[in-house]
Amino acid sequence: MKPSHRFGVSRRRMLQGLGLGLGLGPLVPLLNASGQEDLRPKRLLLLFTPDGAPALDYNTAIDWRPQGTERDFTLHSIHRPLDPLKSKLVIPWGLTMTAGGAGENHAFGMAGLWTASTLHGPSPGADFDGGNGNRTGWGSGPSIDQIVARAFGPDCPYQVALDDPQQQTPYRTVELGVQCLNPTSLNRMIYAGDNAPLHPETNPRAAFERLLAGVDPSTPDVADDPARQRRQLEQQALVDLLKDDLARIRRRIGKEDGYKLDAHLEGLLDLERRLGGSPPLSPNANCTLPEAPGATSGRGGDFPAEIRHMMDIAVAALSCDVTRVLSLQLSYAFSHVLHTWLGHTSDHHNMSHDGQDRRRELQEIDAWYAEQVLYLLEKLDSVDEGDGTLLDNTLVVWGRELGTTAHRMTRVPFVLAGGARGGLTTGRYLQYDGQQHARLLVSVARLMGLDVDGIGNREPGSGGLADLA
Amino acid sequence: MMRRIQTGRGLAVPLVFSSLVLGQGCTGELGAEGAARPGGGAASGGTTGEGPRIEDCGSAAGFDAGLTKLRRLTRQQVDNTIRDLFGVEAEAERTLSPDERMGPFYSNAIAPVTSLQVQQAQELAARVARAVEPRMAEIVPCDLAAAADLSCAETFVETFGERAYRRPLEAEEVDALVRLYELGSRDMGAANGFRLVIEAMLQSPSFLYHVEVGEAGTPSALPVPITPFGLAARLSYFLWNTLPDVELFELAASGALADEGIVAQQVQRLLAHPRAATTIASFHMQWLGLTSLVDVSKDPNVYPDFDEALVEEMIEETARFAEYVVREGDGRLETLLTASFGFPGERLERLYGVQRPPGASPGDPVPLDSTQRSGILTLAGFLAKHAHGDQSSPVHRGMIVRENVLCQPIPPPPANVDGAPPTPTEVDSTRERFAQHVADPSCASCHKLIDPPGLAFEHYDAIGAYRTIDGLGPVDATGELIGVREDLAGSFDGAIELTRKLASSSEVAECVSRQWFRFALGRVESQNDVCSIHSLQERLQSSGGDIRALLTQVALSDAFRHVRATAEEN
Repeated sequence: MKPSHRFGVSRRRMLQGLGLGLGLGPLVPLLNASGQEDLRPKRLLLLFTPDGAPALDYNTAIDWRPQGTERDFTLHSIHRPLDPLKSKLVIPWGLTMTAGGAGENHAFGMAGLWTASTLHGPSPGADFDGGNGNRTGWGSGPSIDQIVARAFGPDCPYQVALDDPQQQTPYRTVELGVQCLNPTSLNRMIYAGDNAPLHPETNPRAAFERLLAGVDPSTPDVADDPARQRRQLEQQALVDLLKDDLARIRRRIGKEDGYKLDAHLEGLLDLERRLGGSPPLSPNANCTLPEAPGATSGRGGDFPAEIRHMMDIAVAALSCDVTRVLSLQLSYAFSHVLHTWLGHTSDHHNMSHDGQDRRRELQEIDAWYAEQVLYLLEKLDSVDEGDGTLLDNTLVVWGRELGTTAHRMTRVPFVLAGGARGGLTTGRYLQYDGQQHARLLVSVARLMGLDVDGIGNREPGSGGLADLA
Repeated sequence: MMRRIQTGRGLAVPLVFSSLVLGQGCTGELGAEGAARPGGGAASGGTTGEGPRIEDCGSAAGFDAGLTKLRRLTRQQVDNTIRDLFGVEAEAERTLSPDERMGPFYSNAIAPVTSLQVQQAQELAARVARAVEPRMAEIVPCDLAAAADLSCAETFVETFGERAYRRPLEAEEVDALVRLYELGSRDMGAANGFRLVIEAMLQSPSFLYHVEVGEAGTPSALPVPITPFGLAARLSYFLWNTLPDVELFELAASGALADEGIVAQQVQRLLAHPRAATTIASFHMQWLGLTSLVDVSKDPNVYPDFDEALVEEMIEETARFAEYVVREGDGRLETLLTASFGFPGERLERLYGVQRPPGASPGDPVPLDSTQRSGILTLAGFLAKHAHGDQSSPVHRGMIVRENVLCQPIPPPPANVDGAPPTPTEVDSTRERFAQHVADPSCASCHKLIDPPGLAFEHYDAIGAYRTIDGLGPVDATGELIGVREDLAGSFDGAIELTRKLASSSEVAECVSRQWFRFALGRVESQNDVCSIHSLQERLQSSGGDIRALLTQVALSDAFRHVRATAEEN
């Protein structure tokens, strides 16, 4: 048995090795890979809300473009709640979704949103309703958060490789969601790769317990904590037993099913890597934890409360360095969330197609989501990280699976927020009418320190967006 | 065709692509063997070689079975199994990621777990083990205080392990778990040792997966008999959705399950047990797309009476109706599809316009107007689920009949079709509003198949209430079924007549047989399963449409009693 987690090795011991004293306590700044000071980690947060900008029909959508100039502009009403943080936003207006493949637009928009890759057609192993009777399989490429999380380098969120036993955070990525339903193409947006969707944790209580319950800046180092050492010993023995069990079963079953055991083993190895007990001793004095959420039903009426819980957990996970790459999916493509708290009597997707002029209600939904996003951004901005705030060190990308509720894939309402640790010049509205959103994903990757020219299989080599950085 | 898809995490996911041609419109030649997909129709999942021909069925040449898949327990199965092991609630429904579906049925047969799911399983195991710890003395077979020697742990691992893994443990498994007990009990006492063992067992792939193998223990490319304990587990999860009970374990241990008569007896015994009520109801809810009935919402301006309490009654009625017919009633498919009784609560009584007969107790069938109601497809639950928020839906209703009741997959509409239903008005009928479907030739090829069986239900509004007027005139629920076998084809007037035709149709009998096969084995059938399916359909018809006979035959079929681990030897 060997301690494989960075906290198993102990940040303090690492610092001692570098000649830094223990007495610095929680004020010790983060170190980058070369031991230099003053690097707050760079973070990425992807945020999804459903459906496109309100439209009466295919040819009549509201024009949500901000009014004014690049540096002096007024937000459209669907984004107006974000006004208090306008100086920390970038509105990239006019992008066309780089997406396509099986299903109808909601479906391939969902699969393409963070991947710029094609949605597969159905196969016997993956055959889902893709809207209006269309059938689809899974998406065909990794999403940008996974690409960023796998990369490492001095200007990336992570400075060590994925297989390095000394990981910098307990979780390389965290996927959270609220009401994301069962595993089908309409309900998933994050992909490890081709045909490999990742499922979000949608239970706030479970997310809290897993990610934050052990986080306490005053937690003693594992070396000084016999109870944790004992637990580590037991859990390591347990994981070793499970590995033997997997190997035993592999000999009994056909090779066609081997991939399931590979995946299971990979999950076990991830568990093993976190065995140190994993409460990260965040150097950040502002690592504060939210109240533990109570049990929620996971159904419609709890939607607003669950969103708040998940946002609180997301902010804590980033500020306490539980992860540096996180996604948060609110509802799903074809959202049937009924916004009773807005006085609505018909659900989101139904109203987008019921033939009546629902632009007022649809704008109310959009503005409501913008209020939730404001809550998240303000929370991120309230965490002081020395020179700036957590928001300043984060890149938040807010995307949706459609351009308009009438299924246009143009002028998708993307919003960027946060400074990407100095990489992004905010307080701007930029016109990119007709440009592929794959270029936005390339720019996101570059802002996260990656050297890439293309993301996804639909517009490979698209390059990035001009003037963003 | 089989190809391996390399995923981003280096997982090779084998996908078999069906011969389904998408976007070609409808030819009227639906439901042909093999030209289909798991969403509704026949299948091609994991066919190896040609598979037998129908003519071979019944002879030695017809013996075959499709590829067995390593399936993870569904969330319901985890909950049920842990309940029966420990008497505690695992809350898997709330804490594990949702299940996949094979055809209409929950089954985790294809997608590999993600790291999150492995961790969720770990958390669940730890939670259950902690919950059990205070009651450990009731569970372990010896005095905890005196459990210093390892023989008690060994006995526990062997007896309890057999139930958790649904088979006797191998010697090295026992050794490993006892060693873990030793480590856990060192300095911390026996209860901690047992807690750790339970935590390990509940995370073992032998608990989390249905590991279905043959006696030889090595993967075979030919169908070989499943182990007796494997067969006991298949029977138990098929009809109870949980682990086998003592009697099944004993029959497995004695080898008695090799006897077909005993298997048939066990099916009857399991079916008669109250646990089967939930499973039988669950089959029907999944088959008819009703699992999300709980989330249905209606426009309160149109349906002010529709609320959660009414939905609850609909769910209860549909579930009770199905399990009553299959378990307590005459068990006949015809009854399921045409009986004019229901199980309404107070709210549904008003919706149906009926009153509970004096003296009838809850759970007794209540007669409904036989000119208005005919079987499960005319109960309010089915009709409310397959409708829009403000109007009925001939498309949704037609699609579920075509795809799930007739097993005829319908190709998707052309790209850029606006799927929104036409807005209801005061003056025109549903049929008039959907007239474009038949007027536009690009729509008509499919919608002439879909819409007529959907329009048959036009006497029912979006919450399942009976109506005679739609728009300004009387409801027109007439239509003609095409693209079906001769015994079903032709004109009909309304759901009463349609459901009667469905009840006597060989195509429906075959489809119902396939759906039960999928439900029982947690996978979509392949060409290698042709004769197993055929035997179900034959039994259903030779028994006069007895679903109980069909269920017995499921358990006696080659596919159920055999495993085929691989397409080619490793």
